[in-house]
Amino acid sequence: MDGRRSELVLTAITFLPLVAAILIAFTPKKAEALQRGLALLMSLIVAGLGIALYIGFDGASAAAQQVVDVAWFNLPGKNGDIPVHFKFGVDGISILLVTLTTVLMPVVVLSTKVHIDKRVKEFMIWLLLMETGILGVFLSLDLILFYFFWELSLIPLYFILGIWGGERRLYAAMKFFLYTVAGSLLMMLGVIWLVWQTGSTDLVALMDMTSGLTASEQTWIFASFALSFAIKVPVLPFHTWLADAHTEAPTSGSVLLAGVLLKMGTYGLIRFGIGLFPAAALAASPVFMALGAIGIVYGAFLAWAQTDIKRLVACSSVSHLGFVVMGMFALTAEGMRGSVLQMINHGLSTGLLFLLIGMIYERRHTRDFEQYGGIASVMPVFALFFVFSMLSSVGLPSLNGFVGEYLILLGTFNASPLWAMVGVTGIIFGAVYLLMCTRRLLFGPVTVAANNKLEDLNGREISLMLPLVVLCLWIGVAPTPFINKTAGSIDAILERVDAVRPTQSAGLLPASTPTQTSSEGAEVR
Amino acid sequence: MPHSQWLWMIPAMPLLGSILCGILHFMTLKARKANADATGPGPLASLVANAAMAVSFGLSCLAIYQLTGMDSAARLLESAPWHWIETGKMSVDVSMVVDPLSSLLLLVITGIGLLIHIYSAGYMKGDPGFAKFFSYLNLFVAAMLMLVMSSSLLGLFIGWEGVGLCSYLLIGFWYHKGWPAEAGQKAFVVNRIGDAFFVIGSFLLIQLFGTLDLSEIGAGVAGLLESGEHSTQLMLAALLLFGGACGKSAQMPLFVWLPDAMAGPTPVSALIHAATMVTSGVYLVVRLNPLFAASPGVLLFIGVVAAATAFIAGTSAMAQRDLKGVLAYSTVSQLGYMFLGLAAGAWSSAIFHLITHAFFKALLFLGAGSVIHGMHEEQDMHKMGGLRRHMPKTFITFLAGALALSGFPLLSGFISKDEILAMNFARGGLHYGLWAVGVATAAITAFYTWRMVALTFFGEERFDKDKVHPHESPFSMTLPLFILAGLALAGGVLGIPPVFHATHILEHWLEPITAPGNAILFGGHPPHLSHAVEWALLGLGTLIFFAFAHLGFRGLARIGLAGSNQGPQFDEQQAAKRPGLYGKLQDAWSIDSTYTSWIVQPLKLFAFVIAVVVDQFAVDGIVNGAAKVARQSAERLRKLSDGGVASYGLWMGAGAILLAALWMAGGAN
Repeated sequence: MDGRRSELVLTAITFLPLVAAILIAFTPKKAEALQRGLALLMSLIVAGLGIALYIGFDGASAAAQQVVDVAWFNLPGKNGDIPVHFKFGVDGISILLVTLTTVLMPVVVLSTKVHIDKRVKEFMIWLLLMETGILGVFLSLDLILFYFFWELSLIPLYFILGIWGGERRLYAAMKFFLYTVAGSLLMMLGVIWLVWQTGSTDLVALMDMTSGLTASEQTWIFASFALSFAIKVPVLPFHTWLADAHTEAPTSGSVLLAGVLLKMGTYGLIRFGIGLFPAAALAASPVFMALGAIGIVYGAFLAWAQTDIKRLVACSSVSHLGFVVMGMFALTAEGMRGSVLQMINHGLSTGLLFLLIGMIYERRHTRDFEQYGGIASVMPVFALFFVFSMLSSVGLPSLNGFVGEYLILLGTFNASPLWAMVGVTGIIFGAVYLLMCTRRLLFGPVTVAANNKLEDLNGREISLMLPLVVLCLWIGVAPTPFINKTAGSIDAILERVDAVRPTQSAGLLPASTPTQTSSEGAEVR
Repeated sequence: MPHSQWLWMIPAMPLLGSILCGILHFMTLKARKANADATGPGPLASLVANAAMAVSFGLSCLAIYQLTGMDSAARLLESAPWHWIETGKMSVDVSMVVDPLSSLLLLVITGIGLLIHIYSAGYMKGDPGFAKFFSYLNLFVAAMLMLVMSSSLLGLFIGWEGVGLCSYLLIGFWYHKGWPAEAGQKAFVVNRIGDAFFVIGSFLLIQLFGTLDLSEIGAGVAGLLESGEHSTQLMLAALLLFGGACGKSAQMPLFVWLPDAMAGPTPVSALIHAATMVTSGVYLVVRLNPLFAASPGVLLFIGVVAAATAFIAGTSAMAQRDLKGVLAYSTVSQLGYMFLGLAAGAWSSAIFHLITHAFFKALLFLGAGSVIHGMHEEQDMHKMGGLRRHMPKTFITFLAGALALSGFPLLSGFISKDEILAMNFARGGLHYGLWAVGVATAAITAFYTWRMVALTFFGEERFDKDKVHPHESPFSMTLPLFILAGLALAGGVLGIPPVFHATHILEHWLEPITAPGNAILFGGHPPHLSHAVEWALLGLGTLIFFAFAHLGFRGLARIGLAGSNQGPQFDEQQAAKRPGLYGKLQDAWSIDSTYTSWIVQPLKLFAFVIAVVVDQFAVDGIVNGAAKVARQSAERLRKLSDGGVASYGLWMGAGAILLAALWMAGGAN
């Protein structure tokens, strides 16, 4: 790609959805088919661009690629003006998430056919606006720009929850709003402080500047960022907004929320927490590993006790994201690779589960386990997809979830055997609640008469899930290309961590092990 | 050495078969939807699945034929690797390997697998899920082949969890009944407990050896031992992997899933829960025998676990009324025997018993399936009796299996069991204790086997003759029975005891595999018993067989006396005489119910406490403190969400102004 075209790619990916949203705004209110068609078409084009971006991306390089950099405006600073740039770029931390976002969007648009039956026009506008916001978050290389997109991505979900949500949508929206505001305020403090002290908003430049701050400043700014991202992920104990938001959101909202919105938090933790403040992240790593590991177990128990199918899957996200957080804060090569990969895996498997629950909800209008049982006899195709998605979520080797979980646990084990051992119980309890969910939904006799006449999945429903199913298999069988895309950037971050790491390795084991090094992990063949 | 790429075909054929059968299943469902009476293309599935198995079996034979043509030390076929996980610093390469050890298991899996596929074509005939059944069964074989052929521990783990998945699906095959689905879930979860140990064990191996390649790990142990370091980690790694084996191979304390697994169709019990999957743990230990040999403490621990398992499960089998229940506990008990062999370092004897057990236990399960089939799904032995007249072929072959299991002199089970016991005897010391428990279990085995035979085939016909008309099974089901019967009777030739001065084929064949472990554990060759002691032990085994088989049989049926109905009476007498003990045995020492009340229920309660008390009151309570303020402004929010963008814009605007104000204040300093 030549320079001009490459400048266009990221801009086009981010703003084409906005263009579509504006176009839809000018359509007549009743032209629902046109609105849906426009949204689908544009999201497909963006998905194509996203895939092209992925293919052309060089994973070995740590530098941001396809950079767009335009001077925007100036802020007053203590040592003269601080130039704010419109700066986009994609690197190994963001590439998978960007592509996942673009690929997920047509799936989400297709999934709305039945469950979004009122105010279609508005819904599509919010949806596309959200895509622009999310992509902007992942692509921004300027702190102020990032903050702008961060806010932009949250507003649409608030409305999607509040307008198209379930019975308790106002409560859920309110809760989501409060948490979001709290997180945003915290981040704003961190942003202002950081920019004020360093005189720059450029993320790449900031990487070299943060080490010039005093230790306590680093700690405090790290804390403000980490806390606001932790709320977004959510990390224990900030998770209670998630279950309500997921449960009340329409299917499409849940899919996006689980698939990519939550990843804004984990992405931020890596990029801004660990990337900008390696020393503080290193100091905080035991705390976050612990929170991640406890989150794995806590989330699993939470899910186990649910009587609402959708809420169960929502709670499972707490458990799965515990893996992601634990893996990245192990600050080892395997842990962080697994963590970045697992962000995608969770998006795929949980996305699939939410889609499937949405499909059965559209038929029966209940999420209560008591109302189900024996669905496999009536809807065999649904059962096939559900069991597949469940197995992906449960981490069956040869499907995607296993690779991420294994690398995370291995990376964590090299840093802290204790938390790895706590985390590994997650593969037991994960099987407990997911298999229980599957059994109560699909197996046993059909006890509710209304279930006897359920229609099995139709062509649209099957085809919208197929891309995700293929990806689950693909990542499970050949994860290496996906992992390699992230390698350069991850190693660069870890080098920064290692530079501030005191030379000793932690471990529970009596003797230090021969091949174990600090962040390298073990060499395996 | 050139790569043998075709080895991938061995697991790939049943995988392909599985996919094809799956497609046939959905085509059948479609046809049935259009016309409820349509059969659809489902019946083709048995042909597809059997063809896949036959090709796989043929290729396995070819692989072994190629091995026999090589030098005994160089017997190895390997495919090019599949670069599964590569992260730059760590990579997992998986290739398909056929060496003396995996070749034996290949024959068992594809050979017995093929017989059970043939049998299933008859057994599952008419089942609405006929094609689905073969799809799962083929998938199982593919996963099992992956397990034994993989060059890497992580590739093995794909098969390890893959067979677990198929076991889950097949146990719950008749899921509409409810309880099979629960049994499948239990099997999966209990196996996952073992798998968690397995995963941590693999991390330790990565730290110790820097690889998950099985042959490199095996080769690296000796060097690590010499260096004198890391013996604790070696021990822990062996212990953790044994934890994984405990789950898959149903050892104490994780055996509780196997008896429940009998909810699956009987061919499944024969293939998965007797002949192949449950022996994976034994395979794992033999595959990594140098690692286990390096930790004698772990081996002794395995011995204690195995002895406890063999004894507890064996005694439980004595009191079961369910025909498949007896066989299930018997399988657990026999798996204990295999681990008893491993504990003594008798690697090849454990594999020997694995093979003979696969012959006779698959035979017994298939025979039981034939009985259940002929009895219209009746499994309670108290409602059988006298069946030898109605199903003579099943009876004759079942008898062969029973003789082998209970240790009739010189039959396969007798010889392989004797080898394990003799090895423990030869080791002496604490192994005398293990030997004693093994001998006691042999007595128990003879008892429950013949009790089972008597209750099922002898005595009065206790079923309702108006409703139940027992009939012999079709040829597709009896043919595998006869082949397996032949194997069960003659399988002992693979390992003729040393007193007969013949070559021990199996020990010889496995020599390249077991030598490293033997070198570490024994400094060379394992100890041998003198011929006199050997004879004495063989004699003891013979004595025990006759004494306890007689006891088990005579007490119940009074051979051939029609009109006698003493089998159930004997059970009732025992139950009346020792109600506590009898109930305890029937309930398998109440271990499962203890788990339920002491582990499962408290955990469920804990989940409830977390979800309701902790999450909703404590965590959410703090939040709701803040939300109280919000509740008051709920009215405003409602306006806001209805008012659309404008009012939210106001909020944002206010935020922006605040931001700017702060900024300016900062700039003014």
